Amino acid sequence: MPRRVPWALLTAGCLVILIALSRHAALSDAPAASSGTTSALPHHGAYRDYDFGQGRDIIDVGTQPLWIPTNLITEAMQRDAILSESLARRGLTLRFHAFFKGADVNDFIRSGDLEAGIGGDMPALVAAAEGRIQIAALAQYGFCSIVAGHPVLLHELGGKRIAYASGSNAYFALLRALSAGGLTEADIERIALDVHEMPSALAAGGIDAFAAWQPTPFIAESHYGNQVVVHQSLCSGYLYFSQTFSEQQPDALRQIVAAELRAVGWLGYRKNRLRAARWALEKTEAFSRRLPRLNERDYAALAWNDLIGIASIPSLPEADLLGNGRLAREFELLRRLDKIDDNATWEQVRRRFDRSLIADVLSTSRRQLQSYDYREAGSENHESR
Amino acid sequence: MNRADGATGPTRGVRSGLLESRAWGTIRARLVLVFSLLFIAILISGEWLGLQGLPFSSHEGRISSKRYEEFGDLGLVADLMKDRIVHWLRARRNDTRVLARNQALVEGVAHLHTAAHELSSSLILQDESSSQLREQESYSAVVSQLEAVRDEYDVYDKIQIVDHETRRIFVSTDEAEIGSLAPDFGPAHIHGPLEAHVSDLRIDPNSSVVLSIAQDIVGPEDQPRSVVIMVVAMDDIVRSTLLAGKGFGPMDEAVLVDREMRILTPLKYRLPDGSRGRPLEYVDHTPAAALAAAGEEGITRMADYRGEPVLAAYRYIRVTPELGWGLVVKRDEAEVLADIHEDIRFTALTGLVSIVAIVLATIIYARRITAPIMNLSQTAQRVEDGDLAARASVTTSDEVGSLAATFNSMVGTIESWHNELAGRVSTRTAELEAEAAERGRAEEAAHAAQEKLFHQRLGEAQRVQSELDKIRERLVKQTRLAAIGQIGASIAHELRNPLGAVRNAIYFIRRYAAPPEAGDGLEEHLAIIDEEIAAADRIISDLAEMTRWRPPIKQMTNLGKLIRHAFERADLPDTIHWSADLDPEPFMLEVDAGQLLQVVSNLISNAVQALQDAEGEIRIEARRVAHHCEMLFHDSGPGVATGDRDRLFEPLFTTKAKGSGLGLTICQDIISRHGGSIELVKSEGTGCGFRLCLPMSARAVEEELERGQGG
Repeated sequence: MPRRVPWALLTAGCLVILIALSRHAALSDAPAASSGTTSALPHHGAYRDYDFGQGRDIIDVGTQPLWIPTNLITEAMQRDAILSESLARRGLTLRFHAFFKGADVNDFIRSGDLEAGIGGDMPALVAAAEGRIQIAALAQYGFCSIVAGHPVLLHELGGKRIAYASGSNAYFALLRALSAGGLTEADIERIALDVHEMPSALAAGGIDAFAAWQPTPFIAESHYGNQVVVHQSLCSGYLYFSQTFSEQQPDALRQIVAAELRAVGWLGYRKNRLRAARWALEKTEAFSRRLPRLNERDYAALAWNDLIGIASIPSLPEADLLGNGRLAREFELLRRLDKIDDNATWEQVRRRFDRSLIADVLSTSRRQLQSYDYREAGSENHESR
Repeated sequence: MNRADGATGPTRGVRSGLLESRAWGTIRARLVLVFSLLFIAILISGEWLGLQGLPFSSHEGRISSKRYEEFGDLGLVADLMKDRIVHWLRARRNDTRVLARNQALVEGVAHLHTAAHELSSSLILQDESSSQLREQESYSAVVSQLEAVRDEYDVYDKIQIVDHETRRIFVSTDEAEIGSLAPDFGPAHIHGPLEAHVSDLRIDPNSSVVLSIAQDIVGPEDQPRSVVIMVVAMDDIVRSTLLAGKGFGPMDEAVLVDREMRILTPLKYRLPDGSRGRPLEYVDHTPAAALAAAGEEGITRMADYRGEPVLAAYRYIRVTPELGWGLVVKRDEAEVLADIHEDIRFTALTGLVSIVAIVLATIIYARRITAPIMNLSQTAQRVEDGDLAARASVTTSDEVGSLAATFNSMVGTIESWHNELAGRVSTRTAELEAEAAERGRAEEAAHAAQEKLFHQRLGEAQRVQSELDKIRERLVKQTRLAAIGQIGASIAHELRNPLGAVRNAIYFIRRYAAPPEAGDGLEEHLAIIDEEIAAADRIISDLAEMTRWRPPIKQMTNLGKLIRHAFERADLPDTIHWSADLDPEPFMLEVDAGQLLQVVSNLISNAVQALQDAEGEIRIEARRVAHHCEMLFHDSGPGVATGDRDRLFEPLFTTKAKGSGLGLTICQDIISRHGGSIELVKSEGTGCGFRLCLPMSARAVEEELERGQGG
């Protein structure tokens, strides 16, 4: 052993230890959500106390309070007196239940607890591939975002810890971003989190980036100074129904679709958007206190960005359903990634998208679509919280 | 060169040469090298880290920062452009919606629609239908309204009213279109009362890229029967948005593509093949265009349609859920990094100048550092070479000065030790030298004594050896002589009787028996016989003499008288003269007179025989030399041949016809017994000479000395 200590080696060793300690400290700040957390489970702990109708003339609808603009639409639908009265005449009651992501909605549709729900394109495609749903209308047409602590190019995401909501639109947006950067899931460290946990985890250094839908990216940029959107992917959201419900209650289904059409039309006016934004913010705060509260104007503006993508009638875009369309490409990618069973075909999935429903509603209820009656708290429609 | 301690080592010149050959190993060189390399390393690494960033840290480097700064700018520009396009589209939709809801238009279109429907169903030719339609009362009002809107907004090429079912244009600001099919729509799929439908872009007959926005005109029955279509050229939005704007540089470019990545606007630059990409024909396959057309938004680095590296921000513009455009805003990376490249060049230049300055400064400073060290080294060299009075002339107040002071003190101490030691050494050396000299003398004496003893012994040994040789020789000679003598005695005894008888016979003959008739011849022959008998008798005598060997009986003898006696007895012929030169006179010598007389007689006899009755001389000289008598016997005869010199004293060797060969042998034997020697000193050519050397007696020396003192 030489008498003189190899200082270069010692210095290098100290640096390695320091870096390892800092990374360990950063990881230890991250919420324990990388595996086996409640948000990764099919039944989130938050849903424990939900009371579903299960055949008692109650139509349970899964909503996503943390997703603009679907939350504005569903909040409006919850306060839509025309809808509630129409369903009441049929002896039905509408009940809305809040979920963190579309995959959770699918789980409860699969279990029969929900009759309808709001989900993004990935959960909608997954459910459609299983043949369990009928997709009626657009609920959102905008972007999901990749947010990081500093500007990065897509190929620089390799080796990074990236949070995502399993089975969601944002997850698919992440896959597309990785693909655009020449990467795969294996090139990153995936960390499953609920969307409302992501900005704080990024700020704490527990993750290097996350994939989420609005308003989470907006909150991240506006409330956490160094968080920036590094990529966005076009994504869409849908209102869909369980196959059983669509077969058993076609009229009720059309009433609900009409309510969505009505809500989209109503939200076309700024004052209505502000009002709905207030409702949505109240629901967000009640559902999760992890995200900073936005003001109504920002919330309404964010919602409008995606609402105009829907256009005045949230018809299912024909171009997206073409064999070489956006949804077909997404379906193929999901199948390649084993998110969808290999035996499923695009034709089977495409048939789940029922463009005739909206046309039917428009042809039979056009006048109704231009009448609005939204009532404040204490509305006829119940919700779980 | 020898050092003070006597050891040898390389000379100063050799040592400086060694130093020069290891020039890069000097402190000066190392300082220059280290600081130069350090500076270069720091400069390069600092510049590199500054450019590329520090790994595992938040420092990204100027290049990354610059890129991301540019990405941010491009993103903002792209977002601005996107917003402007979206707002432009929204404005166009709003225009269309507003127009579609205009009550006057609704009513006028409703009238015209009925008439148009009737005309078209009556299978009247298109031109005639059109002219009949134009005659309708409400037609001009509607057209005027459309023209007013077109002129007011100043962005629309034309405005059309189309039948919802037949898709035929029945009102238009372009009269030529009346009755023709609307190119942009199949079965109407406009349902919404809020948003107007936007068609795909197309190229109109004027080669312009145009966009159509359509909106149902909902009649009193609440059913859409007509559609208002407003046709707008993309040039409007391109000029106002894509070609220029805040943050948009002269080299920047914005490209709008549809979902098939066909460009919707003219390209700013030529394609690599020199052509210009045409809208709705050229497909932009760049990554940014593909991503934007697919509904992605972000930033990227890529090569654009020219192949130039660019930074690009791409956006997706949702025209409708069915229709979307991709927007790519790009900037040449060379332009982005131009400032950094300029910085790098400037840094390289200043770095180069700095390196030169550093090297010069280091050289100068290194000299200042190493000069005292060199002084110290040279002083040490001088001390090593023996100059203990040498001192380092370093007076700096730093570590080297301290070292020099310590060195000088050390050398001073060494010098004093050396001097003291030298003194002791000198003293001791003197003592040792004295001892050594004494020892040397003793050794010399011993050596001399030893040598003398050796020589003495050698001489004695040689003498002994010589004596032994002589004795051996004598013994041999004597043995030989004894043998000869015995033989000779026997021969002499045996011959004397016959010789006596012969001698008697000759007497008788001569006296009584000589016939008278014999005359003188008989007497002559008888004389010859007498001579021969005498010679034989002499030989017999010599032989007999050899048997009568006896040791010499020495007594003081007058050498002069003895020599005269020998000559008188020799009866020399008249032709031979003799002389004797003796010094001193009388020359007394302690010898056996009889034997010496025989020696002299034999020599005289040999000389007479050598001269053979010719004129000649015989001379004898005698001198005293130290304690010896040296006697020279010389005759003027022919001498002795060189080949006979070595055998002259051998028994029975003779050169005479009538000799016994024993005369010189007997002389040598007699002289040897006297302790002397005889040798031939002159040989052929100038006569013959013998040197006899006889030892003087002690008594003769005393008498001589007395005579010398008295005389």
